Amino acid sequence: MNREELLNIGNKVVERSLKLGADEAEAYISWTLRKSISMYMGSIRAAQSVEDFGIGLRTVKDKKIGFVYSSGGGKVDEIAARGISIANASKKDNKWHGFPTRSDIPEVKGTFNEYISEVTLDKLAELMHVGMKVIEEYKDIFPVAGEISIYHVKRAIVNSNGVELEDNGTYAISYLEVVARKEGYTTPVCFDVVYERTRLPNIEELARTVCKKALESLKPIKAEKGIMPVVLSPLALEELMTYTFYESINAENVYRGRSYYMGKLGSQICSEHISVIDDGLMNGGFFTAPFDDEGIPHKKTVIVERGVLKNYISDSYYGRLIGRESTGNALRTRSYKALPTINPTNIVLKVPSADLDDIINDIKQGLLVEHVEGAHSSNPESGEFSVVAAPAWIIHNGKLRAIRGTMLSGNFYELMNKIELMSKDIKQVSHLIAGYVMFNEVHVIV
Amino acid sequence: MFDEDLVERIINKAMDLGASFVEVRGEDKDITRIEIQDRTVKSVISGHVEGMSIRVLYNGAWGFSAVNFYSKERVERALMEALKAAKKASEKIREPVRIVELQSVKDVVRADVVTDPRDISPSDKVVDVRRLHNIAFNIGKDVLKTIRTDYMDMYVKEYYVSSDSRYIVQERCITWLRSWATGKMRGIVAVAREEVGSTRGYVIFEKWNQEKIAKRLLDIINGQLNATTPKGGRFPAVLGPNVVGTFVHEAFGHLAEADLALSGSAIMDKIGKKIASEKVTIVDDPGIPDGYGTFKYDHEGVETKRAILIEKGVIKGLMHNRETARKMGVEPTGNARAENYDVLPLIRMRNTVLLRGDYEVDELFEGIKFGYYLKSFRGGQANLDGTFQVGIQEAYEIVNGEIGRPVRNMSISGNTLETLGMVNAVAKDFEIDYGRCGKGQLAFVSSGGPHIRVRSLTIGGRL
Repeated sequence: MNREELLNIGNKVVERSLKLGADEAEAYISWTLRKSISMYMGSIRAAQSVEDFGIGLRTVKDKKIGFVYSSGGGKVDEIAARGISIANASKKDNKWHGFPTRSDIPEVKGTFNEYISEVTLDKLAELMHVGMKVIEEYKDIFPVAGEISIYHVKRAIVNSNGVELEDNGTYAISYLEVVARKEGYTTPVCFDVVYERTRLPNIEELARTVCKKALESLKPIKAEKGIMPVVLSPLALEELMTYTFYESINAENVYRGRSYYMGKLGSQICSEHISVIDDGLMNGGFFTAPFDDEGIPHKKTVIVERGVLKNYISDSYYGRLIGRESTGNALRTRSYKALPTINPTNIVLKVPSADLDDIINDIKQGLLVEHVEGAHSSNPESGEFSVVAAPAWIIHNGKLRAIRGTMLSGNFYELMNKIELMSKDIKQVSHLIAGYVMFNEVHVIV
Repeated sequence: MFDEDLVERIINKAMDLGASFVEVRGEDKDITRIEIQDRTVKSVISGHVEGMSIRVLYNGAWGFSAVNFYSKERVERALMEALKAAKKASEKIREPVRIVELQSVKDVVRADVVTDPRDISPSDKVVDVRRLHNIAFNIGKDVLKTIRTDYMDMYVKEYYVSSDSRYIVQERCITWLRSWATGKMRGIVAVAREEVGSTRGYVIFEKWNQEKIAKRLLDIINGQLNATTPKGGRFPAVLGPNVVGTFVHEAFGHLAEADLALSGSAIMDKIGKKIASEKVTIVDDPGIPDGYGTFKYDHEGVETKRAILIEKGVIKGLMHNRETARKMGVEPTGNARAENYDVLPLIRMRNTVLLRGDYEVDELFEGIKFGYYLKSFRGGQANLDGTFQVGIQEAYEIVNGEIGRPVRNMSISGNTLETLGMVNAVAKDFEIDYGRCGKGQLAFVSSGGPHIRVRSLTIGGRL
């Protein structure tokens, strides 16, 4: 499937929709090839090659909007007709102001690599094998599951306002899960994930990281309850932010009165040494692209500058409703099958940094938390959360000891005020780009 | 669309090329989704997906390939891709995959549907969902701030053909509705969630009419707004069917999925051992009327069977697919499920329930000086080491055997097997609910049980 073909189909569907009486139409066409090697129950067991192609169509008729999607191609007439009938089933939206118009599209780097797009399953199997060999070196470690997945995605957006865009990206997501077992005790699953765009993962490093974490999780003791400094891994922090912070900087939630940060633009929301940036253009970011999924150019948007809330993230519809421009944050999370919704691109956290060892060494009594469970039960509006921390370690005068049965609770928005330091070893975990972040005064329950 | 001759040829070709097993799955699916926010129709979506996948076992490794815009050449190419993939993976495997093969079968299973959702116009569905919101705003005008409902129906025709001569056509229908409502009063924010569903078609508003759903949401919100916060610590607790369902699914069920058990979950070395009182029996039952997990064949073409997980306190068995059943020398239970044709089936739960006992519900509260009654959950999660955490959206204090003040922002946590060991009474009521489980892929599952009493449970809250 080449890129011109995608644009052609898009143009045909839009044209056909207008002919059938649509006031406006927008076609999103995507083609994805996923190749992956999976390891489970302790062995490499499966290789996959999956091709998915389809059309998502938004049709507007008398300010009523419908969305239809269909796998495969060549059914242009059927799709356009279904689009009209679904639009008619919807309710008039007087706030509708049209699809985006054409704008200048920036150039981005580090989003496509030909070698990655053509990498063979052979090569991926070899890589996973390397990972397994590394895991074998460690005594008491058992591999649970893992996967190396490569995606090659081509997408095109065509709308009746003149937007006609296409691009091409590669993605590689790899993860490994292991447990350590000794003297009848099994540790929690130790998991780590690597997000790449233009290169294969460093599987050896990934394997060593999870094995070390698992070994350090053996012989856990009960933690003591109290209020203490807690150091969260980027994985744990991304989990918490997904269900709190990302919800509250979302223009739709601001518009609907569901954001903790509504009405707080220009106010101090955390300490002045913290900044947060949504950077859709950064070189090689996992969510970097020249334009978002409704054809708006990606941008670098300052969300928090020295503790002051500067911006929300938005698409064109809700951006307008809160009186601001789209920040290029419309994302379709499941290819052509989904409507664009507001999501962060790459969230860069800026906090005064130090070496992780130094951060830990300076803590008299605190916690180091690798994963949290249950963040999805947080209340995004109030910021209240209550999560299980596992694996986690108690820090006692700079020394680590594994703990079990520990929960953290509190209010994430209040915790934003308690960010002290971040470690220098920064990585991207899904949207978040950060190191280990130290929060002061977190409630620890046992 | 599903070309029998072509599929037959593909299977023969794969076997000729040295595969030891091959299966082809096809899918033709219609989906309608409606999302309503307050009084705004946020989206009306209609989707159609068709596609097929080929899975081959070659030299002990799986190769899998899927296409969704197929012609003969593409399907042949998919087969060659799958074979090539399996060959490559097989060079690096540590332990060859072996599976249970079954006797030949030819069967067509129609969906047991009262009203086919495809026969109801999207605009009528929109009217029905909006009615729920109108009622909620009417009865909750002082507190209700916002309400959002997601509705979905799906009608899918699935095909399964395998080299052990199984030819199955199965239709399934799922309808699902979930509402989130937020209330606010005196600066306190309360959130309530209600989730309902059916496999019988567009009967959701007959099973739960809009008044009933709206009233449930507002009861939960009003409870939270007038609630006290929980004391942290260990207390006796009575769990309602909805929380029992979440507990048996999240905390226990995942540990008993054979793939996770074989990966070292906390129950692997406890099979055959007594971990709970005689009163506790937990099964994953594919035969509960109108359960989300009620179907005749799984996605490996295996007849579904009741999986007895705990019988009278003793861990009896696990939930299996063809592969884990072979590995452990047992019969597959029909727990292999795939979200779509283009992903590998995984071991998933169906209807996971704790069977009823002989206590009256009232009896469970008797003798509790101070404890908690946990009525419905918000979300939950569990880990392979057997620890769990479940958020509770509706809870009450129990004071001297009576239900007392509502409690908000509560979660429970602990060790699953220890907690099951502390169940000391099981009531004779029974209810299932309708939910979705994520394990990389989404599956529609039911879970439930009766009210139960736990001697001591860790209650979380702010210190």
